[in-house]
Amino acid sequence: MFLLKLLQSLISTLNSEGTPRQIAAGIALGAALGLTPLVNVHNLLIFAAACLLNVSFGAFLIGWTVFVPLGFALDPLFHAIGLAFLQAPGLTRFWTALYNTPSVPLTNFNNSVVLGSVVGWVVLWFPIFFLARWLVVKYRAHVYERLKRMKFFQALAASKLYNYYLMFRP
Amino acid sequence: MKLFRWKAVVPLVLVVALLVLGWTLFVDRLLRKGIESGGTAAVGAKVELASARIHLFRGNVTLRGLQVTNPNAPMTNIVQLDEIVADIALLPLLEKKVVVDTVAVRGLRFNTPRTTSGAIPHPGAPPSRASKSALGWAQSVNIPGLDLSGLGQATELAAVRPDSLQSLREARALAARADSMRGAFERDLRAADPTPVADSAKALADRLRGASARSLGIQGTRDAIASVQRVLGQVRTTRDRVTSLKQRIDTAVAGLQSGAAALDRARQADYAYAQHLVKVPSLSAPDVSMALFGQMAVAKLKPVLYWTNLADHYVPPGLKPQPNPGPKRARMAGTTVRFPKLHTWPTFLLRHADASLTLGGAAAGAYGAWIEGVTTEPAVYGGPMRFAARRDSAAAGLRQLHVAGLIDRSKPEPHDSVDALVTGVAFPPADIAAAGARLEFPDNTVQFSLDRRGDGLAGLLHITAPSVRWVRTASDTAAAASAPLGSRPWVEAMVWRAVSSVRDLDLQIRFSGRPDAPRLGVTSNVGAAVSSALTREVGAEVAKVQAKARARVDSLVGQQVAAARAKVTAIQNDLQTRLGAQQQQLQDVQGQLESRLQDLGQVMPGLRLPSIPRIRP
Repeated sequence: MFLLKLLQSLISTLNSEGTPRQIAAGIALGAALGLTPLVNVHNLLIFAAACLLNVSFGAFLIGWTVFVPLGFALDPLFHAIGLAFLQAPGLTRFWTALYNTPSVPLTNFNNSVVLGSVVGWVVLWFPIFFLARWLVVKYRAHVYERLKRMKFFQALAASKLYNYYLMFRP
Repeated sequence: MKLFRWKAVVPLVLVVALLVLGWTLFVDRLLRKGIESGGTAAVGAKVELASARIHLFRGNVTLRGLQVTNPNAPMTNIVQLDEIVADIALLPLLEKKVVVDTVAVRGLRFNTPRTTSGAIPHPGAPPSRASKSALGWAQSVNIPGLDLSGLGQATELAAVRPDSLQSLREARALAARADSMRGAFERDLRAADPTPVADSAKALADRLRGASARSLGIQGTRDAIASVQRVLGQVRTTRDRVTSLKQRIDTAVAGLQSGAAALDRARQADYAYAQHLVKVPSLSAPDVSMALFGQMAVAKLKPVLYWTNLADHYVPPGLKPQPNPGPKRARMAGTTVRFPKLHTWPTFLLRHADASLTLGGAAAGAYGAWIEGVTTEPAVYGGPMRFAARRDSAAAGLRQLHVAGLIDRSKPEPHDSVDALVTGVAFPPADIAAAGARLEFPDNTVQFSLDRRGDGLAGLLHITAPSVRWVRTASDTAAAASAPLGSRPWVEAMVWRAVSSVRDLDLQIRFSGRPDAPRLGVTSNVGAAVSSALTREVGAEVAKVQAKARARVDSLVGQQVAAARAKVTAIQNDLQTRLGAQQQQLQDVQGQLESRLQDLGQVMPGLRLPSIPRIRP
């Protein structure tokens, strides 16, 4: 059921009226939830941004789902990156100031995996965005025309879930 | 195209409201789980909590049914509490810091039995660092036996091999250190050779001998003074260099001397080892006490070391960033680093807790206790954690209880101090294997003191019992009469005869040294009685075998130890003599130059040239 939903969301998103840029921005934002540990304040902000900004929400959900396994796989790398930042002598004063500033510690920035994965996501944001945009353009130009004639594809697009998706379509 | 999608505000608000609702519903459970998992990880055994309730806007937390398992006895709770109500400060929560202003505790009990084991169930769970350290120490303590089977047999001295002797290893290491040090300091001495500077200074002083302002004239005097001051500067710099080298050499020589002193201790350890190999132990009262009560001493001190090491781990001194394991979650936990800062809140602080309680059962009575300054970052808090407990009135069990102490990690050098006096303590019977007997001591007075400063620990556990009972447990008591000299039944019978007439117990367990591996010493009136009895019966025989064992050790190590000592003495004499001579040489020429400077500064007795700079002291 979940896979079906995901597939439908993927197809609907790729073929929606949203521009490739909106879809790519949605995927790049959704990647944050997949790459970084979920229960953190920064993800609430990113979720709010995905809702409020005019990006594809379906793509946001797809980005989240696709990047979750990658996040798990890259955790050791994120830990190493985060720890290197947190233990860099030149940054100690900066982290100390942040750590003792009200509300900032609630972000868990001082956890190596959280910091490393956020840094990783920020670094990867543009590559993800441009790659996703390129893929959407290529897909619409070459694959979609052949795909839309398939019965399976037509059935999927007609299901009730498609209506739900429309609520968030750009 | 519009940048914002305003129609999503309502669903977003709904999502946030759902999150707040979820937090309200689950925060108590999260707190309970957090306390249980954090406490379990810290203690190394199960910490359980029946319920937790947060009243955020009232600023208090209520915990009910807290049980902390004793990591050394998983079927016992080291502490059990019915209810804790804590008033917490709200502002520090914004920094994820918990500052507890006051705590009210109800239903505090110690050493209560558990219905289920509190051992951590995961078989692969690694023991905590504190637990490993305490266990490692317990296993490393050398408890001598009372094995006298070497008596009446040919002494097998060949078993004492050179490569097993500690003093031989240390002597070789000391000699190598001495050689290496000599080489290094020879180079330094050559580099710091003051002869050229001293010769140059002496030549100048000789040249100016008899010269005065009148004979040199104004300009000549100025030039001469400038020359003297320049050379004096060189002399002073050279003297400083030589003094600094001397300090380094003195420190290194002190290290060598300490190594030489350690050879004596190593030799004693080798004697004990050799005596053990030839199956003849020392019959001195402390060694016999150690053989009788060593296991008990280790068991009593292990928890002390465990908690000391735990404090080291969780309450580190200083303001350095502190890495800790991250929270458990599906994703990798990572490392969470705390960044303490002066004049802010520590991550956790309990300002003051006061408890006054009445207990029933085996320890019935009225108790009072207080604790203050409990914190994870003492350097931020800026003061020690202090605590005290007392028993105000007794109905059963203990007659008297006084405990007071402090744990001060607010300065770079840790300082811990605990003093306790407890009377009426009932200890479980102790098996004294060497005597083939069990000691029952139901009514004891225990004095405990511990003082730790930096890396030095010293303490005493003094147990006195006015009436003890000995119960023979060895099965073959009849065979003892006909047992051969030195055999186990013979030793047990001998020790039994000695201890069975002892009606009181005076046991002192002393520990000192490094906090993670203190040395242990045991003395007791029982050990003294057994020592006397054994010495009376087999003292002469034992002394003969011991002398042979010592002679064997001396023959194996004597030459190398003497050579190592000679090297240390030679280095000390040679280097210090040469440095002393160099210092004297420089001091002499400095004195001569300063004298010339004084002479040049005077036009006539009592009158100085106004433009001549004053001589630096």
